[in-house]
Amino acid sequence: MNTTHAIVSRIRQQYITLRMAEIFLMATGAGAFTASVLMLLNVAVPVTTIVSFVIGVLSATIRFFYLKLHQVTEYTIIRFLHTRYPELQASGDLLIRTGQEVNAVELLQRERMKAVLLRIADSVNLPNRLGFGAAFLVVSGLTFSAIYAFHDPAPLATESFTMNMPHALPPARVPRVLESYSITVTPPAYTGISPFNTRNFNLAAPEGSRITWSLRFTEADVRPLLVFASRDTVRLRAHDNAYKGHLTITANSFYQLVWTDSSTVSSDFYKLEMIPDREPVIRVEDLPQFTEVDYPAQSSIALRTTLSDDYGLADAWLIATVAKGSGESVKFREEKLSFTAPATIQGRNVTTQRTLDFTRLGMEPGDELYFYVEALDTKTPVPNRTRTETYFISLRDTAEVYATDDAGLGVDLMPEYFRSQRQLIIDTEKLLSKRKQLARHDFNFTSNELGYDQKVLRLRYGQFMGEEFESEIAPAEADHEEGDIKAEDVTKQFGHVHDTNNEHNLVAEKKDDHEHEKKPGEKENPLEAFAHTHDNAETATFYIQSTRAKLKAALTQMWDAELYLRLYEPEKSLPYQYKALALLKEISNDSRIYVHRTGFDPPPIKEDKRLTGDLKEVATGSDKSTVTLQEKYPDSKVALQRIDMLLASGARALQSADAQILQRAGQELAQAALEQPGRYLESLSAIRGLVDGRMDTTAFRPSLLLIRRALWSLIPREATRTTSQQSSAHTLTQTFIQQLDTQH
Amino acid sequence: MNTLTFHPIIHGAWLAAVSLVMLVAMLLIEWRRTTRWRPARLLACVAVTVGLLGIGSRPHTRQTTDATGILLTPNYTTAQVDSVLQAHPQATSWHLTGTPSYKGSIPCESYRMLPSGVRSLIVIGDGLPAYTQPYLPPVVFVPGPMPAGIVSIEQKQLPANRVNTLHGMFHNDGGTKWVVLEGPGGKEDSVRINNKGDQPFTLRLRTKSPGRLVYTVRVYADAELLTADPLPVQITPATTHRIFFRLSYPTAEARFLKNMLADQGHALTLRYQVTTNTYRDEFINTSPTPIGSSSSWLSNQDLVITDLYTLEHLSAQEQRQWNDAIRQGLGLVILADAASTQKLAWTQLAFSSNRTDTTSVMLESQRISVTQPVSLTADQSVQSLAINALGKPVTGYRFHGSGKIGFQLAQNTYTWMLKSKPDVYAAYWIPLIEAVMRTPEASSMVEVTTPFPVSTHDPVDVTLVTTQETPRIQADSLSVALAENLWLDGLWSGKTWFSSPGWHTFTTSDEGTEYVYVHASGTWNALRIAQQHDFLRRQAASFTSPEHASLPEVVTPVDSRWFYLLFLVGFALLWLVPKL
Repeated sequence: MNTTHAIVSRIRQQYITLRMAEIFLMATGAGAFTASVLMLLNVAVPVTTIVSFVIGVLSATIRFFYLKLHQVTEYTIIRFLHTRYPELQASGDLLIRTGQEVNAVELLQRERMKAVLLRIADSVNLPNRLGFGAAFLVVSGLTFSAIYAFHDPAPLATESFTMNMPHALPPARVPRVLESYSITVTPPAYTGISPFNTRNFNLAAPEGSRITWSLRFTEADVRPLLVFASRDTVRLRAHDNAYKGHLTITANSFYQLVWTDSSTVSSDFYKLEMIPDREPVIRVEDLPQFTEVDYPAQSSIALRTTLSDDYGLADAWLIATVAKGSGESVKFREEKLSFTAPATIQGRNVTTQRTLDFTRLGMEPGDELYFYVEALDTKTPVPNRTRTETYFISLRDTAEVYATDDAGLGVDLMPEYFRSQRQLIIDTEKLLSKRKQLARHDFNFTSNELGYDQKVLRLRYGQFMGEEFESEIAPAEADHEEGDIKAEDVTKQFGHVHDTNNEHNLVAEKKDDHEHEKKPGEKENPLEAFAHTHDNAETATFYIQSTRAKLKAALTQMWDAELYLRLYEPEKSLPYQYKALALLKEISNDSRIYVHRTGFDPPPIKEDKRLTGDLKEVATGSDKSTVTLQEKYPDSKVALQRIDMLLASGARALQSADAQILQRAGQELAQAALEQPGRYLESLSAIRGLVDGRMDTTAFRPSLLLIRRALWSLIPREATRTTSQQSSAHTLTQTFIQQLDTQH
Repeated sequence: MNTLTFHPIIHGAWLAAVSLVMLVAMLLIEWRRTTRWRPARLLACVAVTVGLLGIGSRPHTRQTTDATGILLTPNYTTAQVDSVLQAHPQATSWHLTGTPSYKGSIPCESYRMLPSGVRSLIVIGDGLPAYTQPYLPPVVFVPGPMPAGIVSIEQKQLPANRVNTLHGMFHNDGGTKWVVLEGPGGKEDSVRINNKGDQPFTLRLRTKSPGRLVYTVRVYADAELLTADPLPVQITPATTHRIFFRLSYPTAEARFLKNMLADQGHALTLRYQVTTNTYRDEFINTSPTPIGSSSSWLSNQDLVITDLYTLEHLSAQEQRQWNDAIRQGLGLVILADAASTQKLAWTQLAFSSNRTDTTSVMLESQRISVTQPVSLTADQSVQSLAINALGKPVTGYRFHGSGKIGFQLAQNTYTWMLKSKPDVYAAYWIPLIEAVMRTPEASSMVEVTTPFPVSTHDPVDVTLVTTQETPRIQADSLSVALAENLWLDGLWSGKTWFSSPGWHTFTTSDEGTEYVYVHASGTWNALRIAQQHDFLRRQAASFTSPEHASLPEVVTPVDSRWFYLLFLVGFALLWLVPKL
């Protein structure tokens, strides 16, 4: 490389360096500018950083390719020099030509140009926008610094608070006697909302917030009070030339500032709205409430739930209940499952996951899983708790379907017959009453038979307790007791079963094995003793612990009752039978759901009275009753009329009677305002202004219109009632109407 | 032809003598003066005297005119006047105060100041109110253009706690108009008027508490408010009555009806037949009393509700007593569920079985299915209340003496209550009960006969029907002079005026009260103009050609300011000339 070539190369390097510096300054400036804008818009810091960086890189790349820096060569530099330095005589390319022969003229010219190049090399002014880039960077940097330093991004808590605000609060009129004032709202710590000041006397604050009023009056000794709608009064205490008072908000209300001037003066009514801490919201994603699963083809279900709360979640879990078996022998197992992800439940919005593995839950085909999700929020001292509806997952039991459909199986799965406890008691007492008439053998036989029935009943109830193993007793005794069962069937036909409260079949009763009676001549099923039958699943009850205990106690009593019946001592058996019956009734009452009937429910007619035509007890009678009509908002209705009169007559002021009417209506309105604080406060203030005579004549009519509208909306819609038009008692009218009839 | 007449403030001879003496004296004084300008001074003396004479003698011009007068009222058009003048070139024109004059029309402060010589009057423009009728000669009416607005609106007392409708007519001069009804609680209803000309409309409003309220009817053209007029609404309170249920057996229908009426505070007496001569009685909101069927016992009831079986099995004596009681004003509602027999003939109602018993009725703007096993046989005298899809009555009544006999043909209406539709149930039963119920009688009834709207300073006509010998009515606190009708005893009429807008009261001496809302002038402009048009059209329809009579004269005073001026000029000359 010759000297001139090196010089040109150096100039090229200088140019590229300058341009790269320029690009850097501009790109940095663009990034800073972008960051400034995003900060102003309160965009999150990571997003701001990424977007600013991308904008910077993008602008640098664009500039780089716009300047075509990748294509800058020595010839580019020479062409540039030709434009700036005419003394090069457009012969600069001779200086960098290599590997080519040059003729004498070119050589001569090159030598001349070499001298020129050496002279100008150090003074070449390469084009660049370095100044602009630096200025742009400085401005952008300063902007960024200023925004970073002075812009106060809205704190998260305030965002949340604004988010929870049901609606914007209307500005309140501040009494003129107030020189200065401040109202500080301190929400509970768990909300994460920082205390904030407000200049609006209309307040909305999270539940449990402490509100502090600090008021400075233009006059001394005004003895200010805050009078709340709930009849509470807070006396403001003098402190550092200001009056201060505070209240913890626990309900919607409204209040007034009352002070003593020459007389007692009250302000407008101000709204005090409590923003309640809402319960957590749980949404189970992509899972219908009733799901049937082909097990074991599908052995698990991924459960995904979305939890959200206004201030934050504290915990959440799954309560899963596995139901196994069917009919009366259904068993339940309850488990509390935590979510696998995330490990701890925190934050306002959480998406949780849990895989319900049926195998690990010990489920088999035909089993069911009931579960619901429960969540707590961070509220103190008592957190809000919410739960979902119960979701049902059923593992399809194909075997059960086949068994039902297959008529060729030859097994009658209908439940067996057994006597009720009440019937046993009746039969035992009957046996005891006939003791003297019966032969000893017959007495003992019957007593033993009753003992057998007692056993069957015990086994039946034992199935509820999972004591199914006892059914194994049945096969051993089945043979010799077959005939007895038939004999009891005959007895049963004349009996009266009292085993439920639904004695008279007032409610359509589902026929189940409790009432099943064998038809005479019906063959005993030989497989009955070996079959394992469960009751209908629909009648199964999910017993609570006390019920289980009672049932267990009843079974114990049945054991003893059976014992004495087997020992031919039915009189000793009876107390146990009565105890067993009482316990069974208690269980029945504990678990039963009563459905109120709406129609006419006539009492049962005694059999011997039916169709006899006996009307002795049917006599003319009479009843008397009174319906008291209670008028709603009577004072508001009167006030509404009076206001309309005042508006129609163009009145400019209230009479004292009018003021009293309005005052009474205001009391009714105040009651309604407690429930809807924002709705009637303006009207209440207008009533107060009119009654106190503080309203000037220009505001009189608008105030009346405002009050009229409020009272109208307050008066509820009532049922349509009859009205009547009067007619004249004049003989002429009567004659005319009488004659009308004869015209037809 | 013009003639000059004088109306001197003192006797003419005295006035002439005084003027002559004054003239002679002044002329002598000025003649004797030695100052210059004698002729001018003498002329000034004459001018002063003539000026004074002119002021004192009050000269008038008298002009004979055409017997036809033209009265220009607001909103006349010049083309109309020109056309009329072309037909009656000699006719004299007057224009009412507030109406622009045209072609030398003479101002007329009141319709009562029209010259008595006018044999016929051509009224052009908006016209005159109906109360001018006694003072008008035969009229030919040339109506001016009708402005857009409400030209009629129903005025009636509305029952409380019900959706009521007000029908009206809107005159639209083109474009889309909105009629908006605003009540105490804000906007109640609105109607869009699209077509040109007179368009009927209906506004709905739900009344709440009884009393008197002023609604506002606003008319908008697009977003521009054209008019806002007050609409007085009188809401009548609910009333309670004595109702007797006499049923052959208890039914769910009767039970629900009983519950609804009991909740409304009515005094109910119920009797169900249990077996022969055995009854179950029930007294709700009333003291137990022996239940009878004598006319005197029934006269204490306002309404009897019974079923067809009971009615057809009344003894002959009971039937006679019931008939008498109804003719004296008692109401009877028959719950008909089967074809009637001849035993019902005394009610002049007959029912026949329906081949198809399913139909529907329109209640609360909903078409509701009902089971109607029987129909009323055609009876022109029946007033229908609810009609089915075939246009036949499901509920209705007919007059029977002073009372009414109503009928109800639907079955199982109580299921509407079970379906949580109490409004539908009430909309079905309440109109029937109200219509059939005994109408309370008042010894005096006041009625304002002046059509709506009544305005301040306009005469308000009131009629009173009373049994009193010397009735009195007070309008607010002022007594109204009453005149009894020449032919009808007990029918009185009077007239009064109210000076302030708002509600005003007519009170009779026996505490009967009638309210009237007096409007400020300028409201309900289109409605007033429509009424004026209607009145003058009716007047014009009764026009007959006037008899030929002597031509009327128009007397116009000569402006006295000219004589004052002459007097001042004369005196000014007399004062100025000596100083020249």
